[in-house]
Amino acid sequence: MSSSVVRLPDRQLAAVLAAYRGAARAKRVQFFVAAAVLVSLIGLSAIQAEVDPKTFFAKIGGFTSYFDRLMTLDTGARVWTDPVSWFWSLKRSLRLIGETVLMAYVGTLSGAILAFCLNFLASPNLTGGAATVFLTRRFLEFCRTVPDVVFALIFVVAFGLGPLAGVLAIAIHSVGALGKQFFETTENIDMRPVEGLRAAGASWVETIRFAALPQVLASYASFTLLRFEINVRGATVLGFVGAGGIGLDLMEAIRKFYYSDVSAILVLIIAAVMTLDISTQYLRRALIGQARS
Amino acid sequence: MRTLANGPPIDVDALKRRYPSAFQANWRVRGLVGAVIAAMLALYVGAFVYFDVPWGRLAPGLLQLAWFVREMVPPDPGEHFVTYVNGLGETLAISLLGTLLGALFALPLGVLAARNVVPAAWLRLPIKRFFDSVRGIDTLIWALIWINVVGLGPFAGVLAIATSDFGALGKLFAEIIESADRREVEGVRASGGRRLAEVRFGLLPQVLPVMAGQVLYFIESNTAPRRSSGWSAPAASACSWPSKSVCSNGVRFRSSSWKFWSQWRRSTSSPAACAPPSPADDRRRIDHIHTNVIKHRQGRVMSTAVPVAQRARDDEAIAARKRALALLARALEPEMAEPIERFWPRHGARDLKPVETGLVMLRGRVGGDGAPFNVGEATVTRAVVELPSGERGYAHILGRDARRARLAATVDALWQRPEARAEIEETILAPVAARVAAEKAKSRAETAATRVDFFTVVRGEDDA
Repeated sequence: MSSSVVRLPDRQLAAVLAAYRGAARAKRVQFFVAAAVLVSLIGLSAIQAEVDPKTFFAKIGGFTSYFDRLMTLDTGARVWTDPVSWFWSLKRSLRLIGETVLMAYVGTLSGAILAFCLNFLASPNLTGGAATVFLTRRFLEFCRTVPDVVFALIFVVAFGLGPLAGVLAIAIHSVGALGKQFFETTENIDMRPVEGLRAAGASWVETIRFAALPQVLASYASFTLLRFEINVRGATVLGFVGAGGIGLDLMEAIRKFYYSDVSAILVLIIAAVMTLDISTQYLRRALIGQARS
Repeated sequence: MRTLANGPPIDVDALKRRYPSAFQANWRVRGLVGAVIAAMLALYVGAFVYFDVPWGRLAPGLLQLAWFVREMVPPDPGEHFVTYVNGLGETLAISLLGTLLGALFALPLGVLAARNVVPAAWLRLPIKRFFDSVRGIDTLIWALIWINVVGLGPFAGVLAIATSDFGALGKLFAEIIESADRREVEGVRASGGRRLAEVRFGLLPQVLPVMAGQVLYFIESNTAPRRSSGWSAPAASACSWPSKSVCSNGVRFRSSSWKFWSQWRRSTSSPAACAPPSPADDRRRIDHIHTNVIKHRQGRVMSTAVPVAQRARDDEAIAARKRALALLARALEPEMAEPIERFWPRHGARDLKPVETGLVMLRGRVGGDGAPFNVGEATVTRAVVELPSGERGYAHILGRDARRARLAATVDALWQRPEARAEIEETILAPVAARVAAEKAKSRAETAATRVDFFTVVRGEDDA
């Protein structure tokens, strides 16, 4: 294969090179301006957030020694030398983690059902009124932006300490988050089946059931599983405000410096989250594969 | 025979004969779907039964919520306005710095965790599991851990967000790199680039914009209060727990909740309604300690096969020590120091762990149904000591008095010596019990003096 590079006459080349240098310089200037803006923002933030590298480096030993203490039993021995003592509250912790997962399950399912009902109202291609779409979307936004811990705090005051407050908080937050993901999917469906059914005289419910649902159900399920996983992780800290689950025990252990208990609970939480992570990932892949085939 | 408008006639029966599967329900699939849905519903309903939902509290609770919303409605930051704006700025700063810091550390490790960069599973998989472990712990927990290191303040929030985002971003970065186009990397390799050049010129230009997008999204979602980070950061800066820490993000919310909490506290926290805060009420823990002590002394592992009589004896021992610990938690310093000086001057107890002070949430019960609520937090100091002869003493006392905690733990350790027990019961525990009882009686008497008895007019149907 032969190829030849055409060399331009010097005069033309100079003009091209100058243009290239100009473009390169403009890009470089842009980069440095962006970098300067970012650095000054970081500097401002550092002042605002009272960042103090001196304390950090002076006390970073505290971080490593914290993990060292986490791995030490009350007797001074390492935790893995005596797993029975380390996991002395295994039965109770497992029950509470089960409760946490159950809270996330009930909350996610309730949220998913509500979001399912609402999302068709929020997709303009299936709903007539702009007002309905607007109102539904603002409602979903409200549910989404208030963090679930704050909802939990309010519900604890209203309904008392216990998992009910946590379930409600998770449910409301899930309605907002899932509703958004759902209506974004529904907005982008293939409209031809919908038009076909409308032309054949189907009612609104029938249109959704036979034209929209078959297209979106798999991705709904996938989103819900992902949300479930996120909610399990979030539910572990709802107990901090007394809304049920493992959180209360964990916070007590942290606050009272029961280091080996903290590490035992954290190990159990990580194990539970990982198991759910892997199994929901597997389920989601199966669902998406099914939708594609 | 049916016809569509302007169309040829349709013979439905003929269609049914030609495509039987299109008109038949697939019962196997339907059964499976039905079974899955039924199982999910059963779990759902079962969960409510298991949670033991206080249905009776639903209606009053909803009323309270309505009142809460009404209280919130004219948003009125009052004189706290500057504080809130400052808090907002703090939240922004925390999320920006935290996410950037997390991304900075996640980038190199994320590259190492990608399959197309590091084919060796022994190096890649541990990094991935490490990301999963970090991600599995909520930001709030990381905040609590960092507070122990750098102290209260927004800096702990920055580090907490950096840590948990490190896990999430690392996993995302690895996935982004894995889905990158191979051909550009092969191009660099074909022109003689080294491994590092492949990553720098083949991979990074493809993935950096996507990564930057993810980082921006994380900054945004950390600022929006969704990830409860804003909750932890002000919690770090403001110790007064529920009222201030609710969030610095929602200006409106914070001010109303402030009002709300103060009113709610006033209305419910009459001392008589609260259970007396007993620092030694951590029964589970104490039970465990006792089981351990007994296990050690008898030199065998407690199991479910312990004879009934043995178990009864153990229960008795546990109850006795519980009583002793509860009294020691209330004992004053001279009450313990003097007898120890007198009878066991050379006890030789040493700290097994440094004496530490933490916070515990106190729960009270209120109202006719005794529903639990969080009263507030109290400082508790814990000491663990060991005698030369091997007995371990534990103590939890209210407040920050390390000397008192150590003394109480020492007495607890000595109490476990059978020969010393009677003397301790007599010289330390009995006086403390007497004092506590006297104080209780005094406060009862004072309460009784202010009691008002209401006499109601006897209604007609009662007398006969």
